[in-house]
Amino acid sequence: MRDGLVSASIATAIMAATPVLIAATGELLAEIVGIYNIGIEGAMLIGALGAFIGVQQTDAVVLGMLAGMIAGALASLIFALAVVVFKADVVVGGLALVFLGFGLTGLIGKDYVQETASATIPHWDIPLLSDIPFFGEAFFEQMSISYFAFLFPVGAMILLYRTQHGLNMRAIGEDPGAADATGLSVNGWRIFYVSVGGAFAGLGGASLTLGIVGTWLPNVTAGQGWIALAVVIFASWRPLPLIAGALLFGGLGTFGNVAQVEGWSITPEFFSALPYIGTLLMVYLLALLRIQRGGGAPWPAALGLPFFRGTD
Amino acid sequence: MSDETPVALRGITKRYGDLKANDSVDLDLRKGEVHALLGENGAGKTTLMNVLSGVLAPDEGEILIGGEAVTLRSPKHALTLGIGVVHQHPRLVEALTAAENLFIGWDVVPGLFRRRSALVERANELGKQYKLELDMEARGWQLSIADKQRLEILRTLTRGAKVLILDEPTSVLTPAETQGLFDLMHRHRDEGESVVFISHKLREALSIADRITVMRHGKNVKTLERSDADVDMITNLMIGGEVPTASRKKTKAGDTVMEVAGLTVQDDRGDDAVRDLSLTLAAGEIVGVAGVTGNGQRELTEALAGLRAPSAGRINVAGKVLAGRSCRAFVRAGVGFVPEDRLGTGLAGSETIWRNAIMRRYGADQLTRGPLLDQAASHEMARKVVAAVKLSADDLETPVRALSGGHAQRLLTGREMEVGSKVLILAFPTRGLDVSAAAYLRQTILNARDRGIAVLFVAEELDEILEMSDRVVVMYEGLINAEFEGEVDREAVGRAMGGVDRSARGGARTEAQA
Amino acid sequence: MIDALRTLPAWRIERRAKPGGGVRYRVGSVAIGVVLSTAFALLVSDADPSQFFEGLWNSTFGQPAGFEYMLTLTASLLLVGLAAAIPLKLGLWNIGGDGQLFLGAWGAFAMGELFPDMSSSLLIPLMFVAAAVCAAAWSIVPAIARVYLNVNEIISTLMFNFIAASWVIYWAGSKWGEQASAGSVKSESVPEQTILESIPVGDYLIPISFVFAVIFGGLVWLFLRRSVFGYEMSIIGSSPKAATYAGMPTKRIMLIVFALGGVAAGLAGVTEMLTNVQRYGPALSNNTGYTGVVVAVLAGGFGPQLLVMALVFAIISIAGNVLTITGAPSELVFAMYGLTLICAAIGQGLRHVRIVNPGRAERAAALPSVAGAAK
Repeated sequence: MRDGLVSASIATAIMAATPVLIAATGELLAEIVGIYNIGIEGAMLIGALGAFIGVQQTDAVVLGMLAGMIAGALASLIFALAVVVFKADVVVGGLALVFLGFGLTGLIGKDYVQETASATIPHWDIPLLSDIPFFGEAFFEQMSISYFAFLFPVGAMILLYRTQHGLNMRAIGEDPGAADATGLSVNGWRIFYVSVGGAFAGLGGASLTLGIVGTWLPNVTAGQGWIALAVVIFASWRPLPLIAGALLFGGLGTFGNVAQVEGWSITPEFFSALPYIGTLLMVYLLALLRIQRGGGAPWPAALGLPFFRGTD
Repeated sequence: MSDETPVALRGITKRYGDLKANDSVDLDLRKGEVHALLGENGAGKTTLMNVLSGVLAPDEGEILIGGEAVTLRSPKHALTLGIGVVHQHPRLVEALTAAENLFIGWDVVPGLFRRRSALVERANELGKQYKLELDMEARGWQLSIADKQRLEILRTLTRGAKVLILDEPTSVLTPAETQGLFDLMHRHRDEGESVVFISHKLREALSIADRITVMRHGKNVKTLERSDADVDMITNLMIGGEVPTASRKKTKAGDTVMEVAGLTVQDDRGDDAVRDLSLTLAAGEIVGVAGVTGNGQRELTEALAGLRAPSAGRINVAGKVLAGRSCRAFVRAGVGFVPEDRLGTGLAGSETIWRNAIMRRYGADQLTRGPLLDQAASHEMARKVVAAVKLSADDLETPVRALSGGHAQRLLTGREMEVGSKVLILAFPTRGLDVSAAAYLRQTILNARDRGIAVLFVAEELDEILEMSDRVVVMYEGLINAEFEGEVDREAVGRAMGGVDRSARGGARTEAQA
Repeated sequence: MIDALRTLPAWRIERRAKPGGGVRYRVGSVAIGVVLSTAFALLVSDADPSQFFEGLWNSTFGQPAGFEYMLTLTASLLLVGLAAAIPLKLGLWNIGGDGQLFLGAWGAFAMGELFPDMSSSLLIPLMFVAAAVCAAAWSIVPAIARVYLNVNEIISTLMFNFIAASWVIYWAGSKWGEQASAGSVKSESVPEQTILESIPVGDYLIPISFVFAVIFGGLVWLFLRRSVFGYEMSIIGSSPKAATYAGMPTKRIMLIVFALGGVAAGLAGVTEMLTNVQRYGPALSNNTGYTGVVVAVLAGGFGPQLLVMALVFAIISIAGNVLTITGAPSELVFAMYGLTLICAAIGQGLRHVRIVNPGRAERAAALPSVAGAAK
């Protein structure tokens, strides 16, 4: 294989991992407090469109990304209210969010299809580091947002394991009754972090329409929101392994390009399926290892269960 | 208002549908007292304390703190006003360490970021201060129940609880640990604060309390000073009348029906809960298993019923080898089992009565026609089961969760007596039942024994075991460490439960209080 | 002012002891959802309401062509609804209806490729069987992962959907395609003799796929209601621990149930292929599998209510189609599904709660207390 191809592939893998990693970090925060949001795919789409419209209206990338985050947060807020306040079922609510996302973005976005973004996310070549042969091209010539994407999980780690608030969050997800008894607002924080998760999903979507793809297409996320869910499972609900999971996904996606360039004679559809096959195998393998090793469930004990005060 | 009465409840009423869990209850607490709140299961004690601690909002009535009426918005709010509850089953987050559990929701170590060890240091300091020390680095699931309780008490005290409410704290403690708890309660009282001790255990309340309030059917029946109270009077107040004593025929135990040898069973974590245990059950006898909850009783009963496969040992029923075989094999061998978890394991709550009644025999030839259920035969069986325990067969289509606790337990027991033609195993069968339901159940069990069934009866109330059993064994840390027959010495049993000594038989039997 | 806010009595949401009337909430919330989403759709697409309703009537019950199409749609939704509803009885989520649909149709088309000249009375049943087998194989892997590895079946089935999407394109385009046309990948036609016609009833036509779906659904429903297997299913769904205690082979049953769901989706694939589309390709499903999950959730069971809900959603889908004539995008119908689902989700949740105003207690306390002399 040509030398330049490997480093270019790594760079592409990092780029491809970015939306998933951002969305996964946000979803992790939501799941740590006990709510899993399968509507994250819908939130990501809404954020992607919101960011695109934002940019088309303001010509400013940062404002566009902000618009995407707000859009994603608002959409997830509806889901959060339905599930946390009205005790709707978590899966049903998530599906509703997906349908809403798909439908609303198709509706509103129809005028924007294939338009060129008037501003895109800039690439930041890190001075000095990007001049290193091979490594420079591979790691340090990314979109600006990608660097943040890799910092977010570190921030999550500090938040969850080194601060009082993080301890409170973990308690809420493990045993909401106990957390409530100490005065923490279980429902309040759940609504908050689901919305935060939505904001992250929206940012991930923005990185697609304003960066990787550069335009709006219906269903531009193509399941990456759900891949983010799988990455959270793969990471056993810990922040740092999210990076590995997202990179694996991103890496698998680049095989298609490599195959094209190298002229391998494997059908293209196999490569479009590869990221999903790979993600699935990743999760299964890890589950198998977990069972062999023994030990308890890695997920927050109260994940997905509604909380009522006064019942044990 | 008087400093003497820091907390008062006036006219507290709480309804659940048609049921009045609390009916116009008044209660005063004084400073510097241990106040016992006594009552049978279902009397309304826990509901009242849930109202006092901010978990539930009363439908009527008011709460006065320091003489002023307050509305408690949440448990935390109640705590800021000085009222803290320690629940019967300590509420800890299993996955977090003891130190972390202590500080949930409480910013005690300043600064945004901090070292993990800072938390442990502070926790140890506090433990020393309140004389409630334990391993602060252990994870929740690693702590013993007594330690969990102490942690929860520590958590409540360090957040400024002046009124400490303890809900049935001794049900999970050994006699020695109970004494430690009593010492703690006295310390709190001697500092001028109040302790509310909720229990249905008469004797304990009498030994520790300064004043006693008795509740029955949601009402405050009477509040009296310890000096004015005695056992008979309190009993009368608690159950309002004569205690139905169980009648038993004097029978001699028959042949050995169940033989257990060298049984080793693991718990859900993989640790040995039952270790090399041996036991025999004879026809027409009741063997009572005494012991503090958590010494392997649950795993033992599950193994003897086929729900949990033992890792070693023999279980034979009437000659048939059963260890390691399926639940079905046990049923076919005539082993009935009333599990501890009534509505979760024993019965399918959302299902109808008749579908629950046939549950253990559902695939049998007489209940099926090929791959289809024989509805008529199933209903017939259900009717028989229901009639045998004197439940009305009016509506077999009612979902089981609509039944009262007592009726559900009757249904479960009736079904298992049909299954258990040779052996009947019951795990904590009267837990949570009111007096009459419990008495009916006990009589039913005695009737089964009189008919020649071998009964294994696991319970936490020593009095109940002593009343019901022909033979008593004590379980401690997965082993049977004592066995008693005939006249049983209560003190000896208590010591064995606490693991203190392995005593033999004999001793005068103390008057059992129902 | 902050202090004033702090002293407001906090409304509480308390759990009800027994959940309120199920059917009332269910029907009510779906009805509200439908009304809301229709209103939304009309608003957004700027269509004339009377024209819309007229068009809707003609496309559903009014005209034979519309009626026939409505029934084929109902048939598909009933089958994918079953695919989700049966596992749902055990609390398992089968979101993989789409993928299972595609694999079922694949198996059927493969039979057509292998035996193009077989008579229809042999070939059609063979196709159905192949569809059932292939779709069940596709659904059993997520089930195995759930039962033995404890991996969430939602993630598994979702991933399998995406893999199936690539599978379809590969087979329809490269292997079985007549020509690769930009935008739509489709295979060559199915054998003539396998195309399912409709049965004329008066002026109207009843599609065979609809008859099949109703019979299949009816048989499944009756069997599960009266059989031992159905009894096992309902006990497991009520309490898995009780099921083990009853000696039921819980794991095996979970696998069978998931396979059954796959079979239903596969049959949706083959009927759709042999009726409307008549080729193999991505056009076989327009997110039908996901709609099936919505139908299953809203119906709350797999009896006649599932058929009713399938019909309701077929009509909503056609309504969406009608609106595209005035320029609304086809995705509008998904927004309508989403709105309906949110209303239903909230309605479902409200069964379990009651809203309590603690201010009541305060007001009662303010009255001079008659009883309550201190003891």
